[in-house]
Amino acid sequence: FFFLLTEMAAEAKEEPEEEEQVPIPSFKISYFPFAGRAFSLRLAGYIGGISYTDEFITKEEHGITKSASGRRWSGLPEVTIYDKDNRGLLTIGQSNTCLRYIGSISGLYPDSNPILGALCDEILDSCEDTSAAIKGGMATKEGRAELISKDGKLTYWLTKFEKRFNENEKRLNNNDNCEGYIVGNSLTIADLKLFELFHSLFLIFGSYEDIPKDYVTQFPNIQKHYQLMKENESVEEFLQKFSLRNSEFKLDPDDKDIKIQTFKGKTVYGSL
Amino acid sequence: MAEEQKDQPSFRITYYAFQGRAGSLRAAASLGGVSYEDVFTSGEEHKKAKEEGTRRWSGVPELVVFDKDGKELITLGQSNACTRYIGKVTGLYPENAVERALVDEILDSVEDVLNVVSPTFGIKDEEKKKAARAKLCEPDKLPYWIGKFEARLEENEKRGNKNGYFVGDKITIADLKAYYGFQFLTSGNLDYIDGAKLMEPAKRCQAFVAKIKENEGMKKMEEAFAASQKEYKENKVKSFKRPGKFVCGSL
Repeated sequence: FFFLLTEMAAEAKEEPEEEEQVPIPSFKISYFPFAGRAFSLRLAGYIGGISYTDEFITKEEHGITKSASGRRWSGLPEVTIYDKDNRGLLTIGQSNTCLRYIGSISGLYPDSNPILGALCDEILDSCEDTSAAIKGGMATKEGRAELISKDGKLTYWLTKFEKRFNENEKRLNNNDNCEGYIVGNSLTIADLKLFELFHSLFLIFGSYEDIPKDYVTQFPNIQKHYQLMKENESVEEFLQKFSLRNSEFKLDPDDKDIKIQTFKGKTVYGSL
Repeated sequence: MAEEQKDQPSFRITYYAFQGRAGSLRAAASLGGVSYEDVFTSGEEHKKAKEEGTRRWSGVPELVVFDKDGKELITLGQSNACTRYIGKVTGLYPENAVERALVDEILDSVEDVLNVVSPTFGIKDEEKKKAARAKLCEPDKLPYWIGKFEARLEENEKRGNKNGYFVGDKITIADLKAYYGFQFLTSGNLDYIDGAKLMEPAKRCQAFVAKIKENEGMKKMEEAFAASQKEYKENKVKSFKRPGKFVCGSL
């Protein structure tokens, strides 16, 4: 009997179940439900451990907003920054601007040295230049052949990125074992932007038989970097969650809990 | 040491003998009071550098940063990366992350405008060029973008910043980038594009351009630049030392 009383007392002392806390977001990313130009932004928030809301916008919704002159600049992504009262402070656009903002508040943008910042900035801008350079050509067989030729635009840009890895390694040689990041010896938004570009490029390569499987072997640093990023635990985790959410959204685009999701993390407010 | 450093440029800007994409770099350095070397290159030299693979990325400007001993530390490319670097070492790039984002938006959007126009430079057939340029003046192209810059100026004003700049109440690299962007559109060098007509509805942008033009530092910088252009044209002088404080880089 005593034993039973003790057990009942112990049960009564148990902590009540904690209610699931809704994370307070630092900002909201609005973009289409595919990787595109928000891949690096979403990853930066996730890896950087910052709380944020991720809102899927459909092509139709974007078209309506743009026609009503509601778009900040001309496209997506957009990032709404919240203030200390969790109210929208303002919305910013331009993918690299958004990426740099998230990088700044998450420690993934080197703020301590302006040259390191510039090296990251170069990568962000050059990724956009690369995308612009290949835009028209990828659609046709002749276009693709030209882009990947020895003097082709894609070969030109990938050669530049390949060189940047060598330079970074040279700068680190005296200090640390080089991990294979593009700026310094730790992950920055430059790596995420590169991963965003290479991820989309490798998908494209896979879908066209006329692009030789060994085209990328001439860029060993790029291949190594892609592996490095894919094997990053947080990247892997995020990709799995994103892929699942994407499938769910395709099945039920009206489900608000899938359309808008908030990730836990440190809340970093904006202020002016 | 102070004596040697007096003439030491903090960095070298390499670009053509017009402002173009280097305007914001030169202006930021000048207004920020830092020493730099201004080197003019030509189309042929750039083509040669590109073929030899010595171009950092694909174009100019390029920025060579010097270390404390005046030795070349690193070469940087991409005009906005270079402009932002100079902004950071001169105080013309804000400290606040949100303000920085507002500046960055302007840098990126000016590039978007330049990239909307630049494909038309390569069109050899005059009729096709005229048609392409006319298309740029349709409501959803250049007028759309100018409307966005006008809106940004209005928003900054509504935030209580009355000085007519793009971000905050002091001049930043956003203003310098936008200024040279507007100059590009309205210089009269773009055939078949009436820049003044494009800018006509954008009253705040017009006032902004006038304000930057009248800035004493800008006037001084442009005067020195015009003199350099003359030296380059008449005497083939390519390198010009601009005075200021020596601010070295380090890695």
